[in-house]
Amino acid sequence: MILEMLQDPLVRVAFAVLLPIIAIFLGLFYKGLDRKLSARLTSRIGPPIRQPFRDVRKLFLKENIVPENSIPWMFNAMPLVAMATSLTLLLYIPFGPFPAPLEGRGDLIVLLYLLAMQPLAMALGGFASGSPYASVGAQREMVLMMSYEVPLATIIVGFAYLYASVPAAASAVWAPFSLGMIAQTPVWAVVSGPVGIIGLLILLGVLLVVTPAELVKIPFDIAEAETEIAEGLLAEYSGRNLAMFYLSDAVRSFAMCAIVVVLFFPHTLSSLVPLTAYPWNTEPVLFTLETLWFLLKVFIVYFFAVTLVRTSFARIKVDQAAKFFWLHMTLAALFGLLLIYLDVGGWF
Amino acid sequence: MVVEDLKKALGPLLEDVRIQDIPEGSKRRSYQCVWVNIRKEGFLTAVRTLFRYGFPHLGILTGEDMGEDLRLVYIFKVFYEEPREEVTVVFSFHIPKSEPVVPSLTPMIPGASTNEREIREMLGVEFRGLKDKRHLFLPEDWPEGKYPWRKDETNVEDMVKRTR
Amino acid sequence: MTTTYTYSLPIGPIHPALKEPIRVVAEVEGERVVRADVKRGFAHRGIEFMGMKRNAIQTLYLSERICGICSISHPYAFVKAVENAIGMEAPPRAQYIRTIIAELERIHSHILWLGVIAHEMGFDPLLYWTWKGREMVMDLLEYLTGNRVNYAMYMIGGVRRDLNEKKIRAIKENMNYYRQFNQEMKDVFMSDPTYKARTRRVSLLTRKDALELCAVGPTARAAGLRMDIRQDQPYDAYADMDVRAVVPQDITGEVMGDAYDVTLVRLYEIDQSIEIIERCLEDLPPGPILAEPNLIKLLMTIKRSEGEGVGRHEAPRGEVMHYVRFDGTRDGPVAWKVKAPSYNNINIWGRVLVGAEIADIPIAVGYIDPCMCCNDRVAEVRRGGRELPYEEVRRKCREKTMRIKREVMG
Repeated sequence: MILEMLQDPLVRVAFAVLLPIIAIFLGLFYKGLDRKLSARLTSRIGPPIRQPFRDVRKLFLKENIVPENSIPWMFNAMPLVAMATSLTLLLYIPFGPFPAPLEGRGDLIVLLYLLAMQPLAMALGGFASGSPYASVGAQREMVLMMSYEVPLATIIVGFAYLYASVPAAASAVWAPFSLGMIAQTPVWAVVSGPVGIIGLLILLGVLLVVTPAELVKIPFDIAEAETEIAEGLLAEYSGRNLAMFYLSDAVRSFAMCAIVVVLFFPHTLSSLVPLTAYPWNTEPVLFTLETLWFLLKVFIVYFFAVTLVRTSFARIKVDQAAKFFWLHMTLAALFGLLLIYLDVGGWF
Repeated sequence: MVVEDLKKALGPLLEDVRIQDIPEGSKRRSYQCVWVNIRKEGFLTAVRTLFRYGFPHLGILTGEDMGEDLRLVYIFKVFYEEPREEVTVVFSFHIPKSEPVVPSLTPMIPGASTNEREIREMLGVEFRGLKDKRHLFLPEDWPEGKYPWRKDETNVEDMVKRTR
Repeated sequence: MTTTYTYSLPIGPIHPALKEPIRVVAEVEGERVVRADVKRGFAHRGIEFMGMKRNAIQTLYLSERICGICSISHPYAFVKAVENAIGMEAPPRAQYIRTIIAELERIHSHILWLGVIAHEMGFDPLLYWTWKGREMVMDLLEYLTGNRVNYAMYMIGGVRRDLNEKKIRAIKENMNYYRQFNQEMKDVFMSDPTYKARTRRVSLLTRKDALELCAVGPTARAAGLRMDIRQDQPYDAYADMDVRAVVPQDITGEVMGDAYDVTLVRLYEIDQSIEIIERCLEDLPPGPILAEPNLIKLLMTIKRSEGEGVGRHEAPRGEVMHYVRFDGTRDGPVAWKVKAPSYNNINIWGRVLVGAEIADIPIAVGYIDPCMCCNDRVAEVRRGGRELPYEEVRRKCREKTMRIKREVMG
């Protein structure tokens, strides 16, 4: 019933408007959880979970300083661009049981571009701020982006290849690059043998490693290294602009983990537990349960890919990161792709 | 050994030598501190003598306004890296205020640059051969020819304004 | 052919990587540093001048305020210098207590450094963990001396507080804790891949450079120089035991002179300190703790004596050296010169930063454990070119206290 309602264009637009607001809330909430858990892991008390909300509120109240030797229009535009792309990114991700609002109007490739847009906006903002710290940060961001995009693209290619091999009859609307498609058909069911599973596991590993880099978190927070270049890219940002970057970061962190969930763990709760066997299986209850299940999955990915990683590593240098991604991660991703190729080709 | 070598090398330029034995610990084992008063002409020779025992470590370079003239104190240590062998050697000599020039140690000990820069800005001693003549602790726009460690009581007003 | 151009990246006087003000201006080409210059003097307070206007005991407390972290190093060197100048000797028990306090301070200072260097490379959890471990020794120091910092423990010719059975037991328990904690720290620092990746071959210092630039302390030892005053010219209780300099060639068999070697040196020095403290507690001789308990008499002795003295102490960061001269006219030094380890060790920045990456700057800067307030010792607080009279300062302090009180009480 709910799914049918969503077919209505009006409801769909309302959903598309509502989702970003929910996502901002969730992003900040997850950020709060992340900070709290990270603090508990290092035997600190940590800030209250609503601290990120307070931070954003405070930043919006603060004066917005535009440095003298910056390029003002670019400097002011980039936080908006970053925010917009982060929110758009979200509209392509199936939110638990709900289909993505922009379902069918874009696919994995668009996702790849949108993921790249936000760091790009930050780098441009960094260059536009005219501070040596920000310039160094922007350079680092560019180098890092060029490094992690290759393994990320390889993963996307692997998925496309895998889904393209499935006979078209399996579904009514068949779009191999669509996220909705991937969400409906868990990838683990698509591969035929153990070789493909190993290939997928490798790709999953690579994606989990790329996640902190994508989100500019330790050990890959090289562009914002506090003790080296004083927050780098963000060195000159303040007030509203900084709040925008802060929000876009929160939303993106949520979105990136959601992408990992959709790509690798799209399993619904009902596919694991026979929910229909219980008497209260009305549709709203099921949808609520499924949504919570989705949020839990995102949280688990968030915890392992971001919180745990950032509390157990030191920041590495940009050349080390570049080498790591170009050599180790790209090779690993290509190897995973090869295994999937072998699996699809029916060599095993 | 240090004292004999210094005596031989410096000759009449050496004014007097005092060896201080400092007992330490409950067993009262002692180490030595050699106080050497020299004439300023013999300073480089004296330091070169220390180079016979390896690279001497420059501990302190300090100076003092004695009223009539300036007194410079160089504290070196030699024979380090060997347990209980180290000897502290203190050279002190007077230089006239009218011509406060001493040879720089930086060609031999590059690290002495910091010490010499400090003495130069604070006491107005000119080090011949010192390449880096910028201020060390004082601000870059400190007025020329005014030295905080001098006890002449001149130009004090000006200095106070500058340190604001 | 592309043209490369450089731009300057100022680090400091205020920067997240620096805990105290100093400025490093790095000429940067991409990520490479091609030239680095240091400007000191942002925390110059004229302490030496202030000391020359006070009597020796007041100067002793002033010397404790030179540095905020190693609050025993400067008093140690100062009391040694004064004792050497006036020919006084501390009683054996006092010498042992001095050594114990100095070594406890080494433990806390080294752990502090390990935390700071972890923070510099963005490894904050390690910072939290090491500093949590450091609290134990801080509490112990507070128990022994009454203060977490600025212990006010030393006196010319002895120490001010004795150790009783209870305190000795507390130290022993603490040492057992630190033996285990240091083992854990060694495991963490030496096995962590990112730590190694960030410190190996970073800020390389050769033996020759260390000698030429007058490096001291762990920095010099990491470059393979067996230089340690506790070994070369042992003083106080160190003279009764054979302390050996901790150098990387004894630990790993090779000397790199990089930030990793410094870490090793510091980690193993904590072990050494624990051993020294336990030795001291075993052999702690009985007897008085002050050579001259009557302070007025002590000041009169100082006033009557003429002479100069050099006092040295191997502080956690390296050699602290004080020079004092008494001229027989006043009860304080007429000349006082302080040389802190960072004064020498900052010399090496110019050399180790060339060719380094920007990411290495905080590590190279943190590597020597800089202590700016030690480095820039000597300017008095003046406002508008006017020195605030003591009464006015006290009145302002009172006003502020009352204001805060009102705010808190509502």
